[in-house]
Amino acid sequence: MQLHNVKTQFLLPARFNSRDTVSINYRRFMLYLRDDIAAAIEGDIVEVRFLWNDEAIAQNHSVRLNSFPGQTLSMLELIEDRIEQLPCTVVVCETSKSACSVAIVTPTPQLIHKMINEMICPNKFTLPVIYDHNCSAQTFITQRLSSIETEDI
Amino acid sequence: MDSEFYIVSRKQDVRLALTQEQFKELKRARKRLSSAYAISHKHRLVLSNYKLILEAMRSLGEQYARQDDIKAIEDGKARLNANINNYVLSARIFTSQLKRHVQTCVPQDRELVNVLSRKMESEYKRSFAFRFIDSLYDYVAHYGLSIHTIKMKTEMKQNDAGLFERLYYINAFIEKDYIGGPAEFRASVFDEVSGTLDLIKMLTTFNQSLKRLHDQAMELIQDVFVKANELVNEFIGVFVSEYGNEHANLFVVHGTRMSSDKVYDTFPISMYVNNHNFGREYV
Repeated sequence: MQLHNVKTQFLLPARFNSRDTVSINYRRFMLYLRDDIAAAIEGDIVEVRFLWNDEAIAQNHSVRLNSFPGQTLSMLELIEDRIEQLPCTVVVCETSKSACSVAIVTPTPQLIHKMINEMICPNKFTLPVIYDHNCSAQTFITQRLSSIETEDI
Repeated sequence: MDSEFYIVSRKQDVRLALTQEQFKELKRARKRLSSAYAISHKHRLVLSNYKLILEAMRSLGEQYARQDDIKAIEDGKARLNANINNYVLSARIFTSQLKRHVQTCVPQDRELVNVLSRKMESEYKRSFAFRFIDSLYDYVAHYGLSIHTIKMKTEMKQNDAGLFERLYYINAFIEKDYIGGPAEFRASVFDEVSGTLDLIKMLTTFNQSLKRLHDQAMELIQDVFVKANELVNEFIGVFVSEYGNEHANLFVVHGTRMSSDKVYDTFPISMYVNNHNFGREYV
């Protein structure tokens, strides 16, 4: 069902589409790069997963996970600030009950590894975990979107 | 018992005497009109609840898009669930009472009721949505929760002027995994459920079935309805010609001559023939 004439101050970056799944015992908010932009980007994916610490999990629970969209935007802003000088682009940024994750497409994954290793872990999270994915931005987005339907989040 | 029968105005200031036979005719006619209107009232109740669901979904989607009021979001989820439960309940009221209303209109014609029975069986067999929403009543009555998942989606699309704008979507889903098992849901229908069901798609299809049943029922009682309407109008016409148009809101009474307070039976008649809540097809 489409919503018309939506008035909101909560503005998402124009480069991204979004998905938000709210169920009885899980929630997942995801920003993903528009297809016309993702198609033009080359490189491999480095995914950085920031797991929530116990205190943050309790806070998230207290607001019934309704802070996820805002937290996703904050994480996107933080990472984009860090990679501003690097040849890379955030492809997916998403928040679930377990983690806040950022997937970055880059021709030089080692630069992302170095940047993450040097950054101070943001509040609310434990040390980040890094995953390398040998796939394109479009393929990664497709995988993440299909996982919304099947994954136990 | 020294009975008297009469038509009286709402202010009780003027009355027209009836014979017992006339009283019975009016009572029968009123019962038929009442049943006919009940069919349409209950159908409209379902459709109104459907509109409330759409409004609640729209409102909830806007709250999610705004992200500025957690309480409004949580209230919106509860409101959507309540509206769906009301819909499911009103649909069950409609389907469970439909044959009875038709039978009241045509008690002497069993075949007409059988036509409706066959139509209802046919809708149940042909439409998964009909079977599912009908079964959902039992589940909702037991558990109180009608939907399990809400999904919001936004997409940037180019408009006619070539500018990108964000489009917002919301959908609600019922998930088989959360229903539980055949113990919580009609087993034969539960087996048919595959994964996730889009609520609005199901309700849209179900509404089409209900409309077909409503139209079939109204067609079956059409002749009886018209005759009952004419009869009541005739009596109102006599009353109005005697006392004037200011006494057009009338009631039929079975009382006793011994005491003006003692009333055995009374019912309205003008509210059926002068009912402006329905289209011309029913009047």
